[in-house]
Amino acid sequence: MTPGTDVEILLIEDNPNDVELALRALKKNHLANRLHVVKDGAEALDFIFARGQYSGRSVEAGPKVILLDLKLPKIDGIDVLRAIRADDRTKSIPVVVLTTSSEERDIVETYRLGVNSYIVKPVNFEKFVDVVRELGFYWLVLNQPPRY
Amino acid sequence: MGWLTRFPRTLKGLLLLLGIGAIGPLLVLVGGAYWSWYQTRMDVEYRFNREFARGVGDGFLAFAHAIEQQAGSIGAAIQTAQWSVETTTAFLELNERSMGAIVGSYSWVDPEGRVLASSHPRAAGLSVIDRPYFQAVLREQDWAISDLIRSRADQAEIVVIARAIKDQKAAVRGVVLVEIRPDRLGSVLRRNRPGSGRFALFDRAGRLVYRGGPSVGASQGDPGDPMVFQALSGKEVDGEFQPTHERNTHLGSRVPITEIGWVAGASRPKPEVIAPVYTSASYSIIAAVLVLAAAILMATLLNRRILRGVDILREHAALLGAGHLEHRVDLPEIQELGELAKTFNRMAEQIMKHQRAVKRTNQELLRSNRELESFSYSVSHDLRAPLRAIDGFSLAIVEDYSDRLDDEGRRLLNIIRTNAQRLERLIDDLLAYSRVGRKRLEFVKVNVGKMVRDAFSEQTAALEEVPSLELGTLPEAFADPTLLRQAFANLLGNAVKFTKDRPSPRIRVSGSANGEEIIYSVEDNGVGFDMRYAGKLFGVFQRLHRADEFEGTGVGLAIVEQIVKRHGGRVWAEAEINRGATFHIALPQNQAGETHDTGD
Repeated sequence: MTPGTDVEILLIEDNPNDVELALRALKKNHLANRLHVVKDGAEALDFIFARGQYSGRSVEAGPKVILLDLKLPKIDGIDVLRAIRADDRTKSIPVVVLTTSSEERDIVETYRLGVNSYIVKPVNFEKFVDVVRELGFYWLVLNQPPRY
Repeated sequence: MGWLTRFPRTLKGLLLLLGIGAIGPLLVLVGGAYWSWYQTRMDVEYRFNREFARGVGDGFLAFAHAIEQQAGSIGAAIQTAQWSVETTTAFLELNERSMGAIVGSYSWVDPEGRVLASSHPRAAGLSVIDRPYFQAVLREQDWAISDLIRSRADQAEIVVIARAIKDQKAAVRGVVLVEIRPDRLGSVLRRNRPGSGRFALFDRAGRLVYRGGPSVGASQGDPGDPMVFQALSGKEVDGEFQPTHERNTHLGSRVPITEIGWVAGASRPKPEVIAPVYTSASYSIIAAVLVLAAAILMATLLNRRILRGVDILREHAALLGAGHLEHRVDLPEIQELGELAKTFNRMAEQIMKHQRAVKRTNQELLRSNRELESFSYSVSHDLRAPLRAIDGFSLAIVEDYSDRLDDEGRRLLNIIRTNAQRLERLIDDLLAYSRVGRKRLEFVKVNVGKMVRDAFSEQTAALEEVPSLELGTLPEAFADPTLLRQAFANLLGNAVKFTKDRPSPRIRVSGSANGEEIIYSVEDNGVGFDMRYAGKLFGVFQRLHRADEFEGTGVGLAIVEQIVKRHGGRVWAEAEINRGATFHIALPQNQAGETHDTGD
């Protein structure tokens, strides 16, 4: 099976600790199935637009939701977001920004680019689990993406 | 009349005033001198005319006496000799010839007025009994002189001098008449006057008998001027008059010849008298006009030059004022303006220097601000990620390995988590503090009452026991709403924190305006603090309470102080242990506080 087919959640995060904690939080909320993790912006774009090692999958196949860290190696999270929003095939995928930063300029810029939700990663892990729960419930259960 | 008050304010007007101020008094002085000269000349002329007229009168009188005496000798000879008419006539003719043209004729008249003999061929036999001069000598006078009369012998205009010849008993035995030809009087009254001076004789009737000087068409028998008639009453008269047949006014004197009742006069045309004054004055006027014209020309040229210089300077100043500091001006023609121009140039140089310095400082500020921003950015990112890991994995151990951990192990892991979370709060507060310092202020009118209520509900949302909130009058503030709200949130948060677990916790917020400042006070009945440590209150990470009593990072009040200071205000507190604390914020009224922000 080609990696990344039939993915519901794409997590774009370079910090392995954060990846592990995020997985933990998702698992606790039973959201970890069909989750794919990419470690930098370039790989994220390859995945989303089915290029390079992901050329086997199709762009239209998903994911259903993207969890995006803003601070990424190679290509910045903002640029990834910009690329997603610039393409007709991907621009309606819900994007949730995960960030350590509560810096206003990030928030303003991402909202301007049409981000669907914004989570400042708290140090307190329990709070993080709560937020992820609400998020998963919201995006995967209630909010069915439009069919096209 | 607006120009009259505005006029001298211009440089041009001032220069013109200066010119008038300098030349005006000079003109008055010169005019005065000429006036005085004119007066003097008139006075001198009158004196001279009077003297001259007296001379004429005296000369004529002397002549008349000489004639009268000679007539006396002739008469005495005729009376003594008792000649026949023919011999007497021959004697009279002989005398007439010896006298020349001035004497027209001699006649011998008997006391009855009949001409017995005469050197005039047609006079013998005529009667002069009715003539006033004859009557005069018949009565008492030795001699008399007639006015200008018409000769009965030949109708000529003549003057007659009559001399009575008396015997020892003073009875008139005969009268000698001497016919004087007035037109010949010039030879007797020969006098020199400079220029066109005149002199004249008038008889008792004021008629002109003789006029000396340039011929002007006046003739014998013409009536004299009014001054002649004044002089006939016996006093000497000076004045101006208009002679008949003449264009010019005359300055003259009329002097009575008292003995015979005649008048002598002398005069001169006024233009001739004052001609030197007029000539000199007109030269002066021409000179003055020339000088004035030259002065005006020079003033205009100078004025134009100065004005041009001033215009250049004005333009220069306007350019400098508009920010064209590189503009330079050079005015070598006028020293003062040149120096002014140099001063302008130096000033512009100085301003440019300062501008460069300010620009450098600004750039440095911008750079350090950017550095600070990127510093806080990485602090918030890079420092928090490891903390998250510490907290998250500590929790993972607690969750996944709880069966292998005893209570102490769990307690220790919780200490790790608590500290990680505390460090996060410290970082967050520090970032908030630095954000307050960098934020661009936006001043608007703020409804403080609503702001306080909102901030209070936010601070107490998670509490089970909410302290009571009392609001006094809270005037509107002119401030940055985000920052002011944060200041109130921090103060209210503190008040809530320090009244927790106190009996009937109460927070009161009030305000007052005194025209200069609006002062807001947040008062609580909490634990208070020792005023000895009040100085440490607003320092970063400064705490007056132990961490196990009240949580906190010690940044909240530092943020409050920074916010108030950026608004140009001040903050202070008073408290008593276990009695509560009051924090005051004073914001300047009608003033925007900090108007420039270095953070752009």
